[in-house]
Amino acid sequence: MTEMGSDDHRRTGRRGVHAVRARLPAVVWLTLVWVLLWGTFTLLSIVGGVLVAVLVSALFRMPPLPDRLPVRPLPLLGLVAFLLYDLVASGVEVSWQILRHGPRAQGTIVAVPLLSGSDRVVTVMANALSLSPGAMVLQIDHEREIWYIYALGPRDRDGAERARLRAMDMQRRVLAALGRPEELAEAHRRIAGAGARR
Amino acid sequence: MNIVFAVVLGMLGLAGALTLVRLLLGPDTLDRIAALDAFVVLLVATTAVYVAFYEDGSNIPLLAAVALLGFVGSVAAMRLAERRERHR
Amino acid sequence: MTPVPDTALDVASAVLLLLGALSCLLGAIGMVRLPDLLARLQAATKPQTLGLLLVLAGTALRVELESAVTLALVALFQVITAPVISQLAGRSAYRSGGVRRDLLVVDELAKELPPD
Repeated sequence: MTEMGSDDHRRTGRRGVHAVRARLPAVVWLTLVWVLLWGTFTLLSIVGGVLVAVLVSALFRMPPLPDRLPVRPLPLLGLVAFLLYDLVASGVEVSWQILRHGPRAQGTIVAVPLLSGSDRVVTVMANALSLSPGAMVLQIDHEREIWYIYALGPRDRDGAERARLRAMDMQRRVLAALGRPEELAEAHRRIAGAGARR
Repeated sequence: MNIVFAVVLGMLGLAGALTLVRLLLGPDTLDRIAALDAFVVLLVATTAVYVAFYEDGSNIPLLAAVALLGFVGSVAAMRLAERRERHR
Repeated sequence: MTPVPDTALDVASAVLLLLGALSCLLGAIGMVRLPDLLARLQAATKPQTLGLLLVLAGTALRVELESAVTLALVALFQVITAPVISQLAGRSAYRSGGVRRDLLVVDELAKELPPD
């Protein structure tokens, strides 16, 4: 009995450490936002930020995240740079559609294979896809692993295929930064296959 | 520089007026919410231009607050619209 | 304080502000001209976000560093929240009939969600 009790105790202790470690990114992130909001890098603003962050993350518990993502800093930086570029390209391209076609602008909805099983990676992918030129996610079918993506601009089948490939490529970039190795390899294989079919 | 500010504010004002046109036309509830969201973004941009004009950063926290509230408001409105759609 | 002459900063700031306002205006024109909700959502998010970021950058050049940092935070909020808005709206737009199907070149969702 006592053995079980101490084992139990150790387990809750370990879980406590685990819970603190799981909350660490949220605390760091909230502190950063707090300090940026004050706009001053003083001891007071940083300590205050940590206190507020710990309080907020203790009051509003998030469900524990099931998987650890491999974060690769260099591809992640590359992804951020690409997203910034995409943001500019997006603005320009949508503006061009508005001026060139206006009321007769066309679009397309394509089904694109979902290349990751991790909810967090899918969330990042969905946001990244919604920043790319004229595109946004309409629906995700988790069971059949398909995204339905709307793109503004394509006026023929070729254009629709380009939108599909672009969505595949964006997923590959996210996987390169955050995905599991086997998912990244699978993405490479399918993009090569899609390119060969064209 | 004054001419630049006049032109910039003129463009933002025109943009705001056009967004209000969509807000009034609809036809969908979602159209109106999207228009309202775009209007808040324009409001933030215009406030930023005023900050730039007076070269005074004391109103910037206000800007952050409006941007965040706009987002929370749009999300809440969209969820409500969605639920009403389902009940119909 | 800054090694860059004030006039150069002024010019850079003016260019950023003008481009930003232009982008916002183009987005607003799109809100009125584009034919359906999905297309209009693009106009409401893409050029608007780009425009706001450019305006914020132009403003950041004209205030002290501490304020510029907070402006960067506002820009970050916008980049994170704009996709959320368009996704939320896009999800219900297709079902509520905010889509002109005759304007879609390819519609691979039609099989899954037949029009009512």
